[in-house]
Amino acid sequence: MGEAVQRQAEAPLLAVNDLHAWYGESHVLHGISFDVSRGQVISLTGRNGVGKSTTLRAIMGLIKKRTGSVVLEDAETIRLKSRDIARRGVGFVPEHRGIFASLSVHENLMLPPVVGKASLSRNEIFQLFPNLERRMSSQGTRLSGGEQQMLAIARVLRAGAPLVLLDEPTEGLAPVIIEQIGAMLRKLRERGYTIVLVEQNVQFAWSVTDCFHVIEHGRVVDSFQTAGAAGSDIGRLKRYLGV
Amino acid sequence: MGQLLLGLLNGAFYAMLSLGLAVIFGLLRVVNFAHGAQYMVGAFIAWMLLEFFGLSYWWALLLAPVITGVISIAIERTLIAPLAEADHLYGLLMTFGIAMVLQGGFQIAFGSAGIPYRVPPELAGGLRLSFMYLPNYRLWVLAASIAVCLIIWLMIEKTSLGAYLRAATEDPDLVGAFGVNVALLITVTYGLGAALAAFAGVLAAPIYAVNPLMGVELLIIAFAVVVVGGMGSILGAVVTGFMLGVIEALTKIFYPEAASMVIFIIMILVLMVRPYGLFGRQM
Ligand SMILES: Nc1ncnc2c1ncn2[C@@H]1O[C@H](COP(=O)(O)OP(=O)(O)OP(=O)(O)O)[C@@H](O)[C@H]1O
Ligand SMILES: [Mg+2]
Repeated sequence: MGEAVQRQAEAPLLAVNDLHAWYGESHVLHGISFDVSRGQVISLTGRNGVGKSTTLRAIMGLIKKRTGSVVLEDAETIRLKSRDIARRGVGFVPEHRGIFASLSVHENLMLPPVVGKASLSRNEIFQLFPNLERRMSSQGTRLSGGEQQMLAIARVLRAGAPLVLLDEPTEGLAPVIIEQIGAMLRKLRERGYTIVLVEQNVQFAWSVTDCFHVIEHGRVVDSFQTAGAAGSDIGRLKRYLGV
Repeated sequence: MGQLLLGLLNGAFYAMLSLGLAVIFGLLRVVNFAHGAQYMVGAFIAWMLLEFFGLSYWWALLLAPVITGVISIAIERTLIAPLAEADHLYGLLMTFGIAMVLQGGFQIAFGSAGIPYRVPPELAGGLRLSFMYLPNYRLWVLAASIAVCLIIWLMIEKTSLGAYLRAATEDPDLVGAFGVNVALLITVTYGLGAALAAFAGVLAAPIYAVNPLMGVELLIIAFAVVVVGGMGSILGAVVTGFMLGVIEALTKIFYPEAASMVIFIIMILVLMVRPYGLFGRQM
């Protein structure tokens, strides 16, 4: 009985099992598996083109041809449409941010319908992202790269998804901005968000991540816990990335 | 001067039809060849409402777009939406087929001769200007089309439905990944586009006779307008519509023989110099 309760508490929020994905005939994911517990931040890492973004897109239901299992809060979602997956409380921050050029910052922010109880109010958003407040009427793509990244993250937080998929938030950004994004992710972790981060910048990801999964050729080939990790672990991780 | 006004009037029709075509193209990436037929259906419904139910022009102006919109939504759901995953060429061919069937069906039922539709009594008469006689009805059409273009533009630029529409025009998959029902958005947009075409059809009924083929030539021109304005550009469609209407009218004064092709000459020139159109962005 005690053990059953324990299990219940430990049931992962997201469980990906043997996930395969194809672009047309090209087989890109070859059985990705990993779990994410509630409140955990995990990072998927690996070299260019190994299938990190494809993994997030497949979880999100954006890859038409996919097989395997993606269980979200005990419900199988592999056959669901991407809008229904989103409505189960998954927020997606795509590679290259996905800011709409024909929408203002405000419209970008308000676009996603509210999908979860975690929805942040305007004031909370502006506390986390002070830069956005005075840019609300600008065209979305007129923002700097860093501001666009903040907007892309703010957008899913406003929609209230407790699980956030974040694809390379530091891509192409200056070190100061990366520092800000790190601080913001730590705040989100404190607030109990569950985050799946795709990140090649290990230096950055290390301080916000509970667990790394290294992807090669569409498979998870190694995993690391950051808690209690030795310097040699970081070295091993960096060797996978060739940095 | 008179020609200029007539040009503006034609331009208003071009703008209204091109606007619907551009919005639908932006969202579906399908050139809606049924647009001209929907315009024609709008005019026929106006005539039928009068003939069979004694409902006036003003009722037709309201009801014909609604009826055409509902029919078109059914058509979109059953015939066009299932092709969404396939190459957009199939969607285009489907709308072409729908247009042919609608035109053919109305020809069988009503023949190809035009059926006259009377100008509503409230708008009979006209203004005798120094340079021309200007029927009141034409003034009304000009004002109504400008108002409708303005309303649609505001709807697209200022409302949240418009924001969904613009976003889904850029990246429908991402909008879906935020939990928005993009398929429904497309259906609603298609219905509104068809309603807009039908509205133009009712406006046209008293000017041009109601005729199964009345949408054919207009559609080709509207298509050229959309290309010149920039595929999918809403502002481009409206501005270009009025502009080409005026240019066509002026050509009628200076070189009448070329009037019917001047729009297409401009289209060719624009495609050579600015393939994405005057207001278009590369897609
Ligand atoms: N739309 C697509 N069509 C066909 N192949 C694609 C498509 N997108 C990605 N691929 C291929 O799938 C593989 C995995 O791509 P993916 O974008 O998931 O890699 P990634 O790990 O995110 O790389 P990066 O670090 O460069 O972002 C690559 O070989 C890529 O060329
Ligand atoms: Mg990627």
